[in-house]
Amino acid sequence: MTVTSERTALVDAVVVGGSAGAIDALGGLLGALPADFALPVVVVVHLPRQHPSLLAEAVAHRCRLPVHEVEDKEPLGGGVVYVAPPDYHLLVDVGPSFALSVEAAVNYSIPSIDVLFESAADVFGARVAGVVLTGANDDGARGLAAIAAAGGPVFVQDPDEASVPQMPAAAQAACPQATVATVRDIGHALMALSGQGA
Amino acid sequence: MATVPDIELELLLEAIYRHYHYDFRRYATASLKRRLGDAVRRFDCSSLSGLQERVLRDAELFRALLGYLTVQVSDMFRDPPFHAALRRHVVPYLRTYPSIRVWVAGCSTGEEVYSLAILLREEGLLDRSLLYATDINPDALRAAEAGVYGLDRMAQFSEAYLAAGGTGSLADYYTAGYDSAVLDKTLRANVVFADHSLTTDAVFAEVQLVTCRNVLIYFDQSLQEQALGLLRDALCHKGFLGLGAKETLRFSAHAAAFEETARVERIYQKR
Amino acid sequence: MGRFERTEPVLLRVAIIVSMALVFWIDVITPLGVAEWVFYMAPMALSLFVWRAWIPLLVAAVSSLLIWAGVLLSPPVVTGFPEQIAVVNRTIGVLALWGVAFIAWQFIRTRRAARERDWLREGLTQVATRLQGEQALDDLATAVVGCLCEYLDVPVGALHVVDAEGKFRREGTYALADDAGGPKVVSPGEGLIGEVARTRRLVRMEDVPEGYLAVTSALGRAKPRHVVVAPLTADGDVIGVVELGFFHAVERADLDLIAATAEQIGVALRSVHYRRRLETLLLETQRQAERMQVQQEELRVVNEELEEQSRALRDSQARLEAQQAELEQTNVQLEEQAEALERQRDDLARAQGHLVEKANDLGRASRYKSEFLANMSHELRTPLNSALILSKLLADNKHGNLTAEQVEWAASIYAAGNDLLMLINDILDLSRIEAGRMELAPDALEVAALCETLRRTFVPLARERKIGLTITVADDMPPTLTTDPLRLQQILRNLLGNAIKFTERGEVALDVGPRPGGMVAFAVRDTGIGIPSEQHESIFEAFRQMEGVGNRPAGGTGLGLTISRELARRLGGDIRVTSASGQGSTFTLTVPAELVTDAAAPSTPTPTPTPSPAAVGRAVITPQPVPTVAADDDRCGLRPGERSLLVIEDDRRFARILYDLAHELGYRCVLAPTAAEGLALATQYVPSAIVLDMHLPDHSGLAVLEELKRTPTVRHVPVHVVSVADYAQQALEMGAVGYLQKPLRREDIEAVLRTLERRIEPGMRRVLVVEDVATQRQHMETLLRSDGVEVLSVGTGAEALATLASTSIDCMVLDLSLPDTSGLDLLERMAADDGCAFPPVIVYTGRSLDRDEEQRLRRFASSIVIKGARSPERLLDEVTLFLHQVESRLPQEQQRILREVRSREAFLDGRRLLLVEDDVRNVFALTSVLEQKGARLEIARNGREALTALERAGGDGSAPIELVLMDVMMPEMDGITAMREIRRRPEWRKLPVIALTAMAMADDRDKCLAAGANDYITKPIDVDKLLSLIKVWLPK
Repeated sequence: MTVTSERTALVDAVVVGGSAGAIDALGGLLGALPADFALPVVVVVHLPRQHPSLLAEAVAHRCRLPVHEVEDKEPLGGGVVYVAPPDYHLLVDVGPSFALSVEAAVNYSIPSIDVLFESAADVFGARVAGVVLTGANDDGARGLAAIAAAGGPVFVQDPDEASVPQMPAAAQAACPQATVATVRDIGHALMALSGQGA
Repeated sequence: MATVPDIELELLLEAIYRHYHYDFRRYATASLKRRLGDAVRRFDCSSLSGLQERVLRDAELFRALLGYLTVQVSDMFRDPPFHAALRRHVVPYLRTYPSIRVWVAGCSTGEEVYSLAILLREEGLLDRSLLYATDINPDALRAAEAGVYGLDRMAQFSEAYLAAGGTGSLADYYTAGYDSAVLDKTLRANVVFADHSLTTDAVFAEVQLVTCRNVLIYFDQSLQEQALGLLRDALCHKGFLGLGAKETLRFSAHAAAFEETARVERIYQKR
Repeated sequence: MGRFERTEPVLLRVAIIVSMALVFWIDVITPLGVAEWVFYMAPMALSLFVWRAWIPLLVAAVSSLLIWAGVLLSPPVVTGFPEQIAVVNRTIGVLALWGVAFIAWQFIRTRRAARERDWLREGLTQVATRLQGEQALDDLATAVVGCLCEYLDVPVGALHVVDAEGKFRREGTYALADDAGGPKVVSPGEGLIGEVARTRRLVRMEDVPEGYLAVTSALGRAKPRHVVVAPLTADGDVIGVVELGFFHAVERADLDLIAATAEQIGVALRSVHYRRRLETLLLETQRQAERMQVQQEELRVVNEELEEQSRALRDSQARLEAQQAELEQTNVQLEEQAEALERQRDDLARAQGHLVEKANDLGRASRYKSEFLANMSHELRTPLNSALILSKLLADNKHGNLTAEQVEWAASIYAAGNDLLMLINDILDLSRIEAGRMELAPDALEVAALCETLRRTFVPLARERKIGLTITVADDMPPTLTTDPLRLQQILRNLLGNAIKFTERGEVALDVGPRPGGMVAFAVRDTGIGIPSEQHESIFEAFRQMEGVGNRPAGGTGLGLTISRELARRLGGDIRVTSASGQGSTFTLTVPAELVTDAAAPSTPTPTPTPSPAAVGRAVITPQPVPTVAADDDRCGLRPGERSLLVIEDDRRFARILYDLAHELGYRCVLAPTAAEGLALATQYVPSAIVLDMHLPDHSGLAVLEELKRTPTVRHVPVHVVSVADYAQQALEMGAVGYLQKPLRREDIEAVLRTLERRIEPGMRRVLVVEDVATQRQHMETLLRSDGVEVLSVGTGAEALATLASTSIDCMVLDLSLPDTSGLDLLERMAADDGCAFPPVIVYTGRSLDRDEEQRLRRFASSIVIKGARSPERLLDEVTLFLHQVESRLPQEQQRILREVRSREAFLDGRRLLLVEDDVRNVFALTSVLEQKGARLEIARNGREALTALERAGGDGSAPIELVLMDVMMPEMDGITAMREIRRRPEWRKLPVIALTAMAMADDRDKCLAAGANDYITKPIDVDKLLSLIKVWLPK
């Protein structure tokens, strides 16, 4: 019998949603993750439809993980930060791989946080962690509740820290069991969930 | 272990296939589930099974459900760089053919078809072109054939038209009345609107350009492969394939059959 | 007026009647003159309480009658009361009664009016109560119609309210049957409700027809008898329409009430409308606010992205600045290093300069030395020569005037002079060798002859010194050597001379034998004084001799060994010595049996003068008319393009070997013994490959090669050269694919044929360019030419036909405008001519084509390219494609088809079919299959053209079309419609139609069959299946 020292991950993926103020918050959250972070991190930030997004580049400066914009049918890989492309809903499908959709906007947003979170909850069940960051509407609240209902760990950025508190507040209201914390602490919690410890 | 909703979904799609011969069994489940969830609420059913029961007995309901099973969101000159790249890279090549065939696979309500027709007219090629516009949703096809769009969308379309390198004004191609805009009928003189399924039907013509944008995202990997094979077979030697902004051949076995003509704009040329 | 009558008590009526009857009875029993009739006032008074105004009048009338009746019936007057008075009294009474009745009539009417007003007011109040509060439209409408129905005591009612589109929608009902019929939504002007809405006038309908506004209850259903439809208005606008069904007759009060409430309800409905619109607007505003917020958010995100980007940019700028500073530092450093390097380089250059100078000095010195030596030899030899001659003259003492002693001296002078001359010669030799000036002249040398020469020279010397000399040659010694004979002899002479010189007694032996590595050894062994081992090397150094032998007992310059060793090395060998003092010594010379010199060129022993092709010229060879009968080869029945080999070789034996081998490899073979016949055969048969000998009786092979490469029709044919002499370079430069020198082994010849085969089979493809403009033609040639592709080009149609007839072409590129014919005509002629091969044709044209032209071309041309910016690229693609196809695709499908053509079945021969199809690929494929089967095909691109084609075919006396192949999906008129049209015409009702479709569903098949197709085949089309279908349906 060998004693294995390897700690196993408690979740298979992390999904993150945010809006106004999210770039900074994402910088803080993803910046807290080490270069060998083992889980895929999927990010939806509200984006205008017409422009190509700079999100991936903007986040990449503040983060040690590779960051890139999702393409259709792309499989999820550990240690990569995936950001949703503008003008598409981003969903997680079985595989797990990404699926895109150009359906109508949800909560006036395409991409929508709820859409990602609900599909992730459907595919991963309890093995996905959801994080709602700063923002000015209530997108993400329903999705976070769906993750919590499936048994996944859920986090909300402390509205006091958030540059715009509505979105975390709405998420907190819809999902009372969510852990409310600063992005840095959420980052550490995610590391613990990944089995890599803080 | 399949969850109950998964089983229900499978059964519903199987039922639809058996009864109506529409094959959604290999659609990507994530967004399909979401849309069918909306349908369950809209038709006041308690579950997918309930929906199945009704849909099997009510053809009219199925017609309405088609609107949920397929996604009918389309814009004229959606993703202007794509159309600009068509002008730059593909049109000179098309010009070398005495008659040009273009297939818009999954044309939805026709915005893309008219965009291409306008582009070809401005390049002086529409007269010797034939466009096949196909979709599986008869309502969408009817709307495509009518070519009537909300006037409120025209501003956005015009903007995209100019960004795509339009040489005139989009207003040259439509007549506004009440709250709608009717597109120039001569644009569709060379368009064949037809019911065709990438899932169950075969190649019907050899074409020089296929655009199939934001259609493959709704297919699962195997169906996407099958459909890409179909598109490839429809293309003539060195024909062009246009995909949606975030669709890629990267994860497909057919990648080897194509080379990238415009990487960012997703235009590929058959080897 | 019934509504208010119903409320009066029966007792009152009875009381009135009873009271009247009672008064009458009293009147009758009392005599006249008693004024008991006054009591008729009682019923009159009672009638005040009834609701019907006419009752007091009736009472008055009845009372009047009864009063007068009382006059007649009452007993006579009792007390002389004058009867007239009674009559007068009664008259007055009647009058009074009528007066009272009138007052009562008035009173009742007033009271009734008051009562009605109350009712109306009450109604209004009730309705107003129902209208209070914020209610949804349908709730409000239902409440209002309910209230009205209840209040008016009406069994059924409905209320329509105008909506945003100006239509009247049924919002509230009262006891209305669900299936009461009647539209739920009506437009103004439509039906009764619409009419009312339009005219704003109340409509009242009596005796409603059956089924109108049916009332339901648990007990059943009934229909009202009267209907009132009234507009509900607000400020003159019709807001709604109320419809009420009455069982009882409609009264004015009802209408009054309806009219009175109309405005009130209308206003209420309108306010609900307003409220609703307000709500909608509010909602919309909220949504817009939310959307705005999201958009704002998105913008903010974009801003953040940009900020982040600019921050990153600033960062990277800072980094860049730092890097720049670093770079600058590095630059300085580099500059310093560069300077240092430059210094070093200068030093080096200087050193190099010194070196060069030194080398020059050395060179100069060496030159000076050589010059000095040369000069010295001249300067020394001239006086020496005189000295030698004169001393010889003196020593001869011809005049006899010299003493013996003087003669001895003269002989000494002569001998010393000879020694000096030898020394000078040796020094010159050595300096020549050292300067590399000595040239070797290798030649064959027979060992036996060499030995004989040596023996002749040295045997007398040895005999003179009384020692033996033996020369032995090993048995395995090669009889001939290739080396410089003079130099070899010089070495051996020196070695043997030395050996004899230094040997006092015993013997000298020369052993000649081979050594491994292609060397031969000459060992000179003596039994002389020997050489101590420490001097083994120094004896080879110039001007050194064995110490102690310095007194030169045998003379010699001491340079001999040095020169010998240098020479041996130049000959590719060396000299070694084995010896010990007093034991004798052995000098062994080893040299290669075959001397390989650095300069290869002059090695050819008997160089054949190279015939220069330029000198040969073209005019020299006149292709001979080919003897048709004589030849014993395959030329009879050989057709151009067949796999064949032409052998141009005068050696009949070798030619025959090639002939057999060619047959083994599956070639037909033609033999030509002369250059002229070879050229003639080459142009006549255009063989697949040529084997060419260089030595031909009439001309050189190179001339033939040149002529072959100059003739366009055979230029592509690979030529392999076989020859005794070595012309590899020239032949390959002139375009031969290979070269082999005779003699050849069988394997070599096989290899040659294999090379040719590879060259023929997959490699060489020929493209024919038919283009009238020379510059264009050139461009295309340049474009299309590549490894393995040969481009032939012609300018006219006639040339094209000629080329096609004589050469096998893999692909043809055709311009449509030609000086002698049109491209289409050319294609048609190619198709008609059986002797002409029909390769894949690519039409390359600057003209734009109309659809008919394109369709006509499509039957022959595999593809059409319109000239333009990207057309060269596409042309290249298409050509490559077809050249590639020749090998990859043809074997399977096409060859099978070709095979079938040979076994052409009769059923399609000459039959007329109509192919209705817009997909050019299918048109091309099906046309080729069916036409090769002998069918005559008409093509139509859509349903409309198909109908025209059918009409035309039947109309102009030509053979009618016998079967139609109909695509389903086509522009203009699809196949389904076309088939229906065909079936509509009686003359085409039996015409067989086979539908072609890409659809996979069963109901598509049904659709086709329903439209009139006889059968159905799915795409991609299985040719066999199609043929069998046609066979089934084609009329016999």
